[in-house]
Amino acid sequence: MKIMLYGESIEWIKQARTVADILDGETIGVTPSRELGNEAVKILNKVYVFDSIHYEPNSYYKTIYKIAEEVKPDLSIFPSTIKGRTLAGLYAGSRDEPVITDVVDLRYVGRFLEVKRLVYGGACVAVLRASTPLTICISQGAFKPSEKGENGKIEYFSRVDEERVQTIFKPREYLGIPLERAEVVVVAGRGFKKREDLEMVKELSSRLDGAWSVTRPLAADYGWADTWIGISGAIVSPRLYIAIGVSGQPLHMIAARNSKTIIAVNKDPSAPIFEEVDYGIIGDLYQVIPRLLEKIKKKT
Amino acid sequence: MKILTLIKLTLDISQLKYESTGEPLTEIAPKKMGDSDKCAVEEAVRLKEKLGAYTVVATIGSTSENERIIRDAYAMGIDEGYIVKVEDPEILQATSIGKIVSSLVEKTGPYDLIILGAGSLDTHSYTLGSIIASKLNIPIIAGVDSLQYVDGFFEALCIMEDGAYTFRAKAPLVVTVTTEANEPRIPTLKTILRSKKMEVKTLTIHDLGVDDVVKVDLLDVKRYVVNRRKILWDASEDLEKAVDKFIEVLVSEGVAQ
Amino acid sequence: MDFEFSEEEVRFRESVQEFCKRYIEPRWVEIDEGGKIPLELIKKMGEQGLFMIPVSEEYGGMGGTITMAAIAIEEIAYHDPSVAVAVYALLNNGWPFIMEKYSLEDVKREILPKVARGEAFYGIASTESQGGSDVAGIKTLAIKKGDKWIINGEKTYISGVREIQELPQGGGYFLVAKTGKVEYGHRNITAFNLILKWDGKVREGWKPTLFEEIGRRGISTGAFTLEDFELEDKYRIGEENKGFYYLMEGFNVARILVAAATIGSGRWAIDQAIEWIRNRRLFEGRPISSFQGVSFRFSELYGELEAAKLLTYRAAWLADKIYIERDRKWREQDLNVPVALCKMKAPEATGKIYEELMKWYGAYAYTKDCNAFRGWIGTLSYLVGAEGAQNIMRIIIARDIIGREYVKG
Repeated sequence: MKIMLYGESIEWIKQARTVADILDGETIGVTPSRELGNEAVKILNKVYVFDSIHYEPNSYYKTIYKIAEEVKPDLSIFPSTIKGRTLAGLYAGSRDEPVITDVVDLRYVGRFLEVKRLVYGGACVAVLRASTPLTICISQGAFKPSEKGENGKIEYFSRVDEERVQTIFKPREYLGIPLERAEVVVVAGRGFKKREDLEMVKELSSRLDGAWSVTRPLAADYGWADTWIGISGAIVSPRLYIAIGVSGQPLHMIAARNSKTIIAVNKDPSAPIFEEVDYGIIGDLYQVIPRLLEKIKKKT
Repeated sequence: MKILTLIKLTLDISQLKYESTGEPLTEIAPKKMGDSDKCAVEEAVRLKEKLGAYTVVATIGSTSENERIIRDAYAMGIDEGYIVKVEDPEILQATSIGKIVSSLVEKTGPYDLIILGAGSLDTHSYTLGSIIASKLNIPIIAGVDSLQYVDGFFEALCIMEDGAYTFRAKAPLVVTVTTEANEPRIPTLKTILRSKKMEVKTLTIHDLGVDDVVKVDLLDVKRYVVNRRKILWDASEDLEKAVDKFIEVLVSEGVAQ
Repeated sequence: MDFEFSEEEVRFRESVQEFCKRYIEPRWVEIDEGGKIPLELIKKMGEQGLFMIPVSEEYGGMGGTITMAAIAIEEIAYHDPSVAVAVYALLNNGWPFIMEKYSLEDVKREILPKVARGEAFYGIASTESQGGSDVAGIKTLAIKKGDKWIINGEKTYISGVREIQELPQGGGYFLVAKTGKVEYGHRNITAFNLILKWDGKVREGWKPTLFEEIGRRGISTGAFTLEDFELEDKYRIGEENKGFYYLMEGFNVARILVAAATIGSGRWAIDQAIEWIRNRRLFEGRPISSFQGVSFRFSELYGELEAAKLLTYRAAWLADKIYIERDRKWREQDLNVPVALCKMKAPEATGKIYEELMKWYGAYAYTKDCNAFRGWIGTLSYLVGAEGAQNIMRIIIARDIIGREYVKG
């Protein structure tokens, strides 16, 4: 089986590689950066690289479509992000093949593929039967990064431009590690009463060499941050997810579910988050977190 | 300017209940127009108010609840509406829906703007807008947090993980909006009563020249249960112990010494 | 019999719920604690069309029904259980409705559109210090001089006194004053559109004061004296000396909305109760709902609320038949008992629910961490007799059902 995968980060490419490992397929990557292409050839059989300044889906998909005309993939994989799904839709629409998003698992069953995807805001898993040619979008963290290595070939491909769209891009200033790459993520929820109290969260994340963020209400409603972790925001899959004063609503938890270990602090014993934690502390964050920080400081 | 808004009867996932087997009880869950769909309708009505655009709404489905969301769109200010009659639209493949919508556009258009919500929280795949764009060979701007119309160009701000993108394009165009784009107006009693008298047109897929629909081969749907250890400590009983246990976890995960 | 709401009524209810979730629910505690409904909220409610629902579109009303008004009031009260916002809304729904029926055309065009937009307030001024229920005993006197009335007297326990002063336009009241011979009893009362402040100008002769209420604090309660207050005859409502009847009509509509408000608050209390008794665990982790003493009492209270709700919507349905549809099968007096029933039952049912809820909460209810007290004290205003004393409702029912001659003292 020929598997084409489009990715913008090496971590994601490794996860997509795992899908190819499951299906025992030949892997062809497509990336919009030479730097990434050079890393990807150590993992994939072949990599196509096209030059790009920044993301623009209408140009990108036309480029990827042309590459696919050469590659003739049976399965095409994109990330299940806003960007990835937009691309996947354009691509699958023009190839007139089915597209399945938010995929968390798949395997061969006889001649068919059985694909598991998240539905209802992440509350449920649906199992679909599909056959190739097929396009899928895989969820961040659903597949472990593959350890396999290859000695792939690189090929440069000219970008097809969509003249009808102009793009202006303002990159985000990262104050630390991007959320999607952090091993430790600390998240603040509505248990926090004042914006200044988020300092505790920042301090904890910094002491653990991680990243921090908030749940949607703190960003969208209170304006305490630009982005948030949630189905309409960032999706993360760190080794450790620390949720402080977070109630655990499904639209938030879906974005954190693929974390290896989840620990939460909340003063409400009936908060839904305690159904989805490995470890939980029932208590007032204003007591627990300062004490925690004190003890961590003492240790170091 | 002519605008087509696509809306969907979406189930309210906060009201979703389950069988003991984990099967979701979707039949009895309350359904309404999705939140991002409402933002799409609002955006269309704002363009109508600002630029005199003529607005059309369409949905795919067959029950009377679908007629209700068309009337809800009328109550927000939409001029005309269509229901494309299809049984069980939730199990249609996204590409099939895309074909139906493209045919609808060809039959009732041309449209300067096709606008829909960036994602409904049910079985939607977040790809419909893109599929439509590819079939009509027009550009798409997806995940729009703010839409303007300036000097003949649609200008859209999309905030993504890596930064802020501003895309500009002329009509015709597909746009998908997020719930950040606006605060949808709430219909008043007057507009609700008026919407009752407006006509809702129905079409079949054959009227659109589409022969058949392609269904998703759905084998199973179950509640997503992640098996977690759920070990809890009560800090109000013993704060010190709880904090010590927290630190133990940090150490065992290798993030603290 | 049809026990379902129409599709439009359901959609309207949902639209009001959406409005309340956005603009009222997040602020109701602040409104109660601070003792004030923000003027921008009043304006927003006007823009959303929540005032003057059963008034003709011609005068800025929504052209709706009393049932629709009751639905809106119920939902507003559910999202502000202290009922202050619901009371503000119901006054500006019920009294303009009666005023529209009997006032002069140009007065309607002058006053009503501004009330609809939330720029002016229109309420009821009937109660005086020597009696509220005893309307025939009012002493405020209006004497005609040429084409004007000179009014002297005082009214007390009147809602909206502060709002009239603060709203940009101002507003006034459906006022009842004595105009004829004392011996004529209730046949010497005339109703007026008492415009106290208009176009930003306060009229001479109006001296308002404010009370500090223990609950339902978002809407003001005050008193005022009228000293040689001049009011043009065009502002008279209907015929001279017929005011008592118009007042009773007004109370019939207003009382239905009052019942709807207390039911909305009662429903909130029931929802809080369900949440609490499910999750409060005692005695080896049992939820207190597993004790029959609790669940049985809950069922009784739930039944009382449902009964009161049905009585209220039945009265609203009948009011629509009489006033909106003008169905000749029904006479106006057919409304008296249904209205008295819902105004009697609804606050009493809600009062009982809150009392029990506070007991289930225990000591927690006694602190301001718990907001239930706001609903209890807010709806208490209707138990102590606002918009009609509870025992007057009993008299109305007894007179009608047992027979007037049998209940005379």
